Amino acid sequence: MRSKLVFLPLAGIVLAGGPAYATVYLSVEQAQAQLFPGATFQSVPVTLTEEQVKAIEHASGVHVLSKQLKAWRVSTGGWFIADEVVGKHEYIPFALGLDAHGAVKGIEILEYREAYGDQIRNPEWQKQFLGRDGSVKLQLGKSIRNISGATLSSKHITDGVERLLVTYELVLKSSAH
Amino acid sequence: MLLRNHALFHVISRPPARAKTGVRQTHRWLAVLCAFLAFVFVPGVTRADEPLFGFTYTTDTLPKGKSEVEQWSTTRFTKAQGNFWLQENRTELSYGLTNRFQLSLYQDYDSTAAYHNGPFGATTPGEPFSYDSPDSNAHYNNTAYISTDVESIFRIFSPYEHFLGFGVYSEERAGKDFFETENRLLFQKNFRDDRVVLAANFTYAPELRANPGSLSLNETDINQDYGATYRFIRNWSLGAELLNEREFNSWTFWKHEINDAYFVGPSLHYGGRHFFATGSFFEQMPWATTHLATVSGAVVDGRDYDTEAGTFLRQAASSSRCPGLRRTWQPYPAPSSMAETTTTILRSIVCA
Repeated sequence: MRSKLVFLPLAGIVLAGGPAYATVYLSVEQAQAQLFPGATFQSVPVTLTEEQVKAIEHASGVHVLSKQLKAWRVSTGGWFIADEVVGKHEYIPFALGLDAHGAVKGIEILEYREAYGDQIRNPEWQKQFLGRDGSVKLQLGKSIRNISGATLSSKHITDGVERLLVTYELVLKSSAH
Repeated sequence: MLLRNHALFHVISRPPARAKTGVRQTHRWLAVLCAFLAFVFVPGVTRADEPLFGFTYTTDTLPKGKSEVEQWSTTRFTKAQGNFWLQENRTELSYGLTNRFQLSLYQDYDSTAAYHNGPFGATTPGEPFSYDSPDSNAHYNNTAYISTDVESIFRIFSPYEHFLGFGVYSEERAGKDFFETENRLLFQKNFRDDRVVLAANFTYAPELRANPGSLSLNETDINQDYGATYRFIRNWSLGAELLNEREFNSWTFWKHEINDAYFVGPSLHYGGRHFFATGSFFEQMPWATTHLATVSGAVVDGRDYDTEAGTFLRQAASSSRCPGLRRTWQPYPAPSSMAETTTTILRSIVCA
């Protein structure tokens, strides 16, 4: 009898091979056109140094997921950054537009793969970020209000924007010209 | 939570059980099947929160208006001697009444086989079947509906907003000749972008049984569960749990202790948008001690075999928005063999 029971964990593993779906809302190009209509974009790929990662994490209080920064300089002034944050099960790809002064111009959720929490696409909630420039720390429940029922996603998007604002101040700002 | 085996008391105090008739078994399985089908075809089911561990609860609850169906399976085996096997099955429907208050309804239906497995070699059924008192030399087999349960979880502090997540849990179980209320304090602390989760539960669970006659206190379970898990790649989390289970012959948790047992084991979890599965394995550690109320012969080599098994497996799975799966999903049966169970599980997960 005992030997047959070893198949039960196997069943659990096989169960895990279930279908996975993702909702793709925007490509990077579509998000660029939405945040900066009519502009052209110059790719400025950045590889963060170990010191820069530590400085960003220290200043933002947020873990840096990747040293590779996908940034574009915008012809009309400002920056476009494509990044991702941790979701409940997967990563949440998003895009951040910064104006010429480094303030938030807009946020776009590119893709969402989680069971729930996609209320972070709500423009009313995202409106809180507009004009934020890193002078006041972005923190869920304080400077940014929570979305009840989508707490993890809204927390991580808030943290992600805070991290990119700090990244702009420490890394991109000096290479703006 | 039904983790214990009280059958030894019944071996001593009750006459041998009468044989089960085929008609009675058929009626039971019809009832179980109807209950399961009612759950499976509840409309609008969506997969949402999920257990990261086999036993330890986190403070996560379903969002308001969301629901899910979960299928649980716990297989306990290994005693100090003889043969023992207990298959516990649970079909659960959960619903988020608010974003922090979740209500669930369970049906439990189990199977067991036992022979010369108890203290002094007496055949001792698993706890869900403790209303039966087979002859001490009987080859005992049984399958039955066990109980209907209502569970509620209320999250007071979210680990995503506060320093420490905190919630309360209450589960009421009613079955043949028993009633149990299980009450937990839930704690959760997250690290590394919420990919590392630490959780702890503290449980107070008095159980009443008709022993025989009217319901009276049978025992009080006092449990501590600890879990740690890390999402090491997308969708997959690997963790470990430590369970400490203690039983008392009173309403309190400081006197008349009957026994204690410690379990340690790994847990593996997959979570996706429409599906999750959790598997865990536990081994009893040789840390059990003898108390004034401990049944003679129950503790062998530092392990409590009166109320516990030496090892067990626990699994949970849930899926939705997959019409083929919804149509073909079957309850874990009362298996004539484990091979049949495995085949049924594999067949039932095929998503057309």
